[in-house]
Amino acid sequence: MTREEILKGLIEILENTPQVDSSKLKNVTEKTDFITDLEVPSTELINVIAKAESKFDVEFDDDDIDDLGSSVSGTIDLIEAAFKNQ
Amino acid sequence: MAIYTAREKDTHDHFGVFRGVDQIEAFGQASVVAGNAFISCVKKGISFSELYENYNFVFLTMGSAICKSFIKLGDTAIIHAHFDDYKFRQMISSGKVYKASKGFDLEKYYQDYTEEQFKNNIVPAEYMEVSEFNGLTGRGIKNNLI
Repeated sequence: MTREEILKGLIEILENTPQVDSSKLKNVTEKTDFITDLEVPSTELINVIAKAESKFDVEFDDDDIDDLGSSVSGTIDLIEAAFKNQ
Repeated sequence: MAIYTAREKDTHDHFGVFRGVDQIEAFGQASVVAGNAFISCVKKGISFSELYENYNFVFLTMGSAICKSFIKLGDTAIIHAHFDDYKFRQMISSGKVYKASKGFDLEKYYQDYTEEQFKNNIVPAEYMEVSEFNGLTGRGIKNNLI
């Protein structure tokens, strides 16, 4: 799966997240930050990551999430790494 | 379940009342902070003090709070908290705070208290419901990120 496909999948998750303003999702790139740019509440970000686990059929460790931050690129890195570890 | 008796330092400067905000703090500490830290200790196979060298467990936000009565200095708050969700060191709880009539033997009552009673929020007639909290959320955060 390419980084572009992962990005598209993340946007699909955000489209189904009520706390996210869908108009903000038109210009999401790897440089976007979930919290500062999309105003995703930090508590909801955990749910977005959990949904990503399910959508991409991967598994993250608690320790992975500790240092994840809130960038889209970091999340794509995490998903890519999880694919490699499968 | 947790039990806490309001002390002088808890009610100082607010007329001997353990306020709604104090109840939220007590509820959060007893549920999402303690529960979360316990799970992390078990998962990592380390002690509580070892865990706290690298992590702090904090109360972040909550859905709703309904305060129906109050707790005074010397009253015992009985906290019944249910865990709604847990993922990546983020825990959500909901539940109620009660107070019992004076002289009620809590230790004796809870000796035979069952999981089924807890799940169904069954409490004795001697209890008065003080508050109800929903969606209280806490998370374990690395010390270097705070």
